[in-house]
Amino acid sequence: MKQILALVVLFVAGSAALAQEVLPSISKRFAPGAAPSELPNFQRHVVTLLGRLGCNGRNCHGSFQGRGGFKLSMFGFDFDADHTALVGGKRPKVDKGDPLESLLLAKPIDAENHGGGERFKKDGWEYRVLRQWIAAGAKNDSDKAGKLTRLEVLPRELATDAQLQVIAHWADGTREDVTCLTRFASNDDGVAKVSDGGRVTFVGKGATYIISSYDGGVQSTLAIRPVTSLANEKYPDLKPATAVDAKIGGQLKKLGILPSELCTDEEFLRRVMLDVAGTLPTPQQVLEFRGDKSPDKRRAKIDQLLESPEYAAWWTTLLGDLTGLNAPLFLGNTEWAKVAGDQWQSWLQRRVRDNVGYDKIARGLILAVSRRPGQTYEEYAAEMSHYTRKKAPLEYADREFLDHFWHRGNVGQADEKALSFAHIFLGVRLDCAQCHKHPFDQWSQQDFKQFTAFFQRIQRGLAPDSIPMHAKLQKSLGNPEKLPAAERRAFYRKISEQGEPAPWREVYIAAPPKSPHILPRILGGDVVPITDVHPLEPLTAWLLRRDNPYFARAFVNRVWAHYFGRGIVDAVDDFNLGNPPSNKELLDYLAGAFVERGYDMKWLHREILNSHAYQRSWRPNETNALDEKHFSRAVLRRLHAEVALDALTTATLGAKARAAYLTKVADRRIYQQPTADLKRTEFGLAVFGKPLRITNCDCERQMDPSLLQAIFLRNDKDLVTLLERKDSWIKEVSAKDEPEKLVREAYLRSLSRLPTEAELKRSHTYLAAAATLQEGVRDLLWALLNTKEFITNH
Amino acid sequence: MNHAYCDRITRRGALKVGMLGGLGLSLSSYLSLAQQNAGARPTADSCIFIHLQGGPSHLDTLDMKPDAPDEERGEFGSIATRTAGYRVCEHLPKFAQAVNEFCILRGMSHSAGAHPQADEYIFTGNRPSAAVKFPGLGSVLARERPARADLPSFVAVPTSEMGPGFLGVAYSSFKTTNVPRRGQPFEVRGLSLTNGLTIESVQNRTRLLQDLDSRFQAIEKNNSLLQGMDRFGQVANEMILSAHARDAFDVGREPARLANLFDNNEFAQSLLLSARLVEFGVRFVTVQYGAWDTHRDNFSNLKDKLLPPFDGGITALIETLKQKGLLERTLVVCLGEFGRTPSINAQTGRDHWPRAGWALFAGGGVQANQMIGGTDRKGHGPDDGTKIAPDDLATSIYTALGIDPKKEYSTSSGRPVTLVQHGEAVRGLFG
Repeated sequence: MKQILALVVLFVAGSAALAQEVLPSISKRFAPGAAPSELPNFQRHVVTLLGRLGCNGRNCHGSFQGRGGFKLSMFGFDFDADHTALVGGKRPKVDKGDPLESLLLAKPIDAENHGGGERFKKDGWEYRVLRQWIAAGAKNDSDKAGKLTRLEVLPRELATDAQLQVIAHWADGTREDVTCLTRFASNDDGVAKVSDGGRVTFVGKGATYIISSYDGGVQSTLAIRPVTSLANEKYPDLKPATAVDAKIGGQLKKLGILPSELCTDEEFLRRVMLDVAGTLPTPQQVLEFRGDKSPDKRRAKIDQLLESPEYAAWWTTLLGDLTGLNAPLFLGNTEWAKVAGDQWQSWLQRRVRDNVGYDKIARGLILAVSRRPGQTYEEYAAEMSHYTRKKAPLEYADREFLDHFWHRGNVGQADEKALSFAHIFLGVRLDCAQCHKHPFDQWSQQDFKQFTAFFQRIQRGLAPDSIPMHAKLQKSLGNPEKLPAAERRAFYRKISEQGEPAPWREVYIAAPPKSPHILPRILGGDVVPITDVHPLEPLTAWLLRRDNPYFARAFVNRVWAHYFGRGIVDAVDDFNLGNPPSNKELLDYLAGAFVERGYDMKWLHREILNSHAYQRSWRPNETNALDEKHFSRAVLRRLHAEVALDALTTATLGAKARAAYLTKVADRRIYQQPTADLKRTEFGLAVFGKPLRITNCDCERQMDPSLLQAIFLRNDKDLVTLLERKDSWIKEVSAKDEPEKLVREAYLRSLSRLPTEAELKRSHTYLAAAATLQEGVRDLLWALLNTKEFITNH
Repeated sequence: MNHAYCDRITRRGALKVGMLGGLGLSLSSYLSLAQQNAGARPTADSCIFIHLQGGPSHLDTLDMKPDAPDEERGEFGSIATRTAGYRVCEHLPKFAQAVNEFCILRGMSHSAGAHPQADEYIFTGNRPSAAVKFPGLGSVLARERPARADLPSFVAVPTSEMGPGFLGVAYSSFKTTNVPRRGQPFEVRGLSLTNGLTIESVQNRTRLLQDLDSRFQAIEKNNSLLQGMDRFGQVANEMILSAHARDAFDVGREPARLANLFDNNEFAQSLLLSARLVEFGVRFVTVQYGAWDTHRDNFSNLKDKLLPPFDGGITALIETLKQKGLLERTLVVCLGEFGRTPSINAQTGRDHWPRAGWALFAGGGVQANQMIGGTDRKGHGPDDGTKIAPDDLATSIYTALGIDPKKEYSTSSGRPVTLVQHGEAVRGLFG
């Protein structure tokens, strides 16, 4: 995405740049025998050379305390500090009077015992560059380097072994071959390797990216070698069904991979219901869908599901995961936890249900403060009581902002808010840049500090003008904060249910600091003055600009990953220049169209769900059996914890009890908030990995199978109860029932399909041999719930 | 006990990056073995691997530097140990009397300065790579020397980030998810048969399951998820029918004379469980303990929260293994992912310092009562004669357990992968 921006910049400033020759590589300019008169630039040449040689890496002088009394900024980019480290201190690394005596030269050639060994040869070009820089006074002229506007890597795409050439484009119009100063890496050296000098060699089949880093620039180059002989011109002419399919097809063509057939109707129904509504189909729904002769029934089913309360519930939970909804944890299980948690959830649910634009939801979170402009603390406390009272309460969901969002206990500090914001809304992990330059991206520590500055004034607790009124309120209530915890809780619960004002805390904007020492700057953008507005207003405006490279992409990518088990950028919260999308056209298309349609979430769901890509079978063909990355077939995914537990429940309940369970969507696991810790979590949900929503990582939700899950499904007391409780299906089975009908029912209620002939026969035999028909059916259902087919979405 | 790190992140995702090849090939296809283990004679049959999560300060524990400058030395005094001339932190009195049971390695050094990468490094013996996910020690042992069928080979108490890497999820750890409490029965849910189920009826329905669970047979060989589910299913079937398995977890059945050696804290009780599991036949137990990531208040945290349980727990473990007659064939390893900075920061904390950490080894053929390696005068890095990296530790651990550290696995595309890429067995560690 950064590349796009960079491209735009270049086109604007381009004409001057194109007029200039590309400066040949500095390794040539300073080759032995050449007599260069030029002065190497500290930023463009010296620091990048040290980076290329590995000097500022974490294991060398880039580590926290440096090494051998010499510390560089990790991965470069703190030019002043690096310059001081070289020329200052008790033992400067350069000797301006006698350059050849400089440690900066003597160490890397290993003339002076160097822990890092020999990095280059005496009199080699590297040596000569550094010598020249020292001889000219070892100056920090990074201010003269200007801004790197673009890093160009040729060729743009690789199908055969090749030497990469890297050209730096600077804002002043100069262009320079910097291949010899660039760090290269292959994202998968099982497909292609790259040498330190940028020579790419294919060693296997498939696709990978070669990552080139120089100064603040990072570029990825697709290296692709077809998997079969069907690639490109030999590829059959497959008419894409939708825009999504066209983007995927384009890539499969290059790889020579044929997509799988479409899945069956039963498979589609089970898949789409689990994904969209978190719900297993009932036997009746399966049979109805099978019997439906309308050619458009899949589209109709998608539309119907997106209007269902189950969709609203399940996607509220998924958005709750993303936005860190865990009131019991953050409010310490206090009297406010349940109230705040329910408010939070209802606020999200309303918006999912009504399909409010994702941009508006984001605004409602980011710009949240507790009090409206001009509202006093007393009025605020009174307003809150209207939401908590038992009698005809007002709805918290009506509020424009969800103030609890910034109440989260794990984002108390500004840097924590910044990290959380980047994770949720940008899909970016800024943690690295918190302490040093991001090794795979453009972000420096300075970028992080300036980004963090936006969040400095967002505070929780009590604003100065609220403190007296809060104290007054406490006093008028008889200072309940002095009561023992249990009594205090009961007291607050009572008054809030009665509709009396309670001493809520608040999220507020603190006064601006007198002299802000760090100016807030948008990531990859400009410094923004924020004194007159909500400090996050400019950041939100940037987020919602049509050309924002992250916001829409991060969201569509997460939704995509939900449906395919893998993001187009994967991991979904790791957008960085070194981790490009597996299909850039696809991501760009979805994000662009999503924005154009006003961040319409249901449009996005429809666009994905109606594609053939989503509706493909898991059955591979000869060309795609090993592909899990290019969406050529359905990939098996384990069910989410909540969906699995709900599915176990509906598969085992009798028809009447099941109907009741399905009706009360708000009581189902798919709508359950997390608890304060795993010990309080329903055991089954913990075993299948329901997240507490405490870390800035989508990986917090566990989707891998485990031994404990297998034991749970086979023999946990909760499972035994499900099978044998009074209102279970098993208890409805009578000796008079027709065995074949029971087998069909068992299959429909668990695997959402009818049994094959062989399965019918085997099951029938089992029932015939069982002590009672009821026990036989119990064992059959037990077996089906323990199949891999049940616990996966396929 | 599952403490988040300083950055409040335990990032499982980071451990998975690049697990799949260019096409997202399922790396379970790595499973085809290139060569059979050329049988070195193992000195241990099982391993207890104690991970001091977060990275303990080496300078305030087992590698004290009384002569370091004031701004680095820290506030703890030292006490003498049974080894002449070797002093440890004043808050480790029991350990000081038991040093003769251990081989103490100092000056372990590497270059991964963030928790997930450093964890992965010490768990696998390979510097983390974007292209290949190496398996953790426990997963390799589970694969190469599996336990009896009714027990998990690899148990994590209560949890661990040590992952199976390219071996696939089938070899991941069995997580107990909680920790026993002193004097109380402990069981893993789901291991007792209730509701009048007999062994025979369970076997019957399990056969039915095996016959019906065939939908994905054709794609199983390329699918790590399915293989994992299959493997876990098999072990679960065995465990449910096994009184032995139930018994293995129930530390409530430990004789009082042993149980009383262990204080009533999570670390000590985890170690008691680990000893019992090994006794019953579990191959590899990893115990994850502590919030050693002391960026703030290093000294008060060590003194009040971390060192006392450590001191009592580690010594009780050795004594118990001895009394059970297990020490000789059980390798005990204890370490953090790195040491901590010599300089003390503004919050009286110390930051990450991968250049100098320590590791404890005991039992399982280890030449005890010795020190290997060392750090320089101020504890900034290994001294001149010391070169010990996680690669070397993993090589040593594998060798002791009878697994060739240079064993080759190969991908379906024929790419060979060596279990431990670099490293040599630490000289003198096993006599």
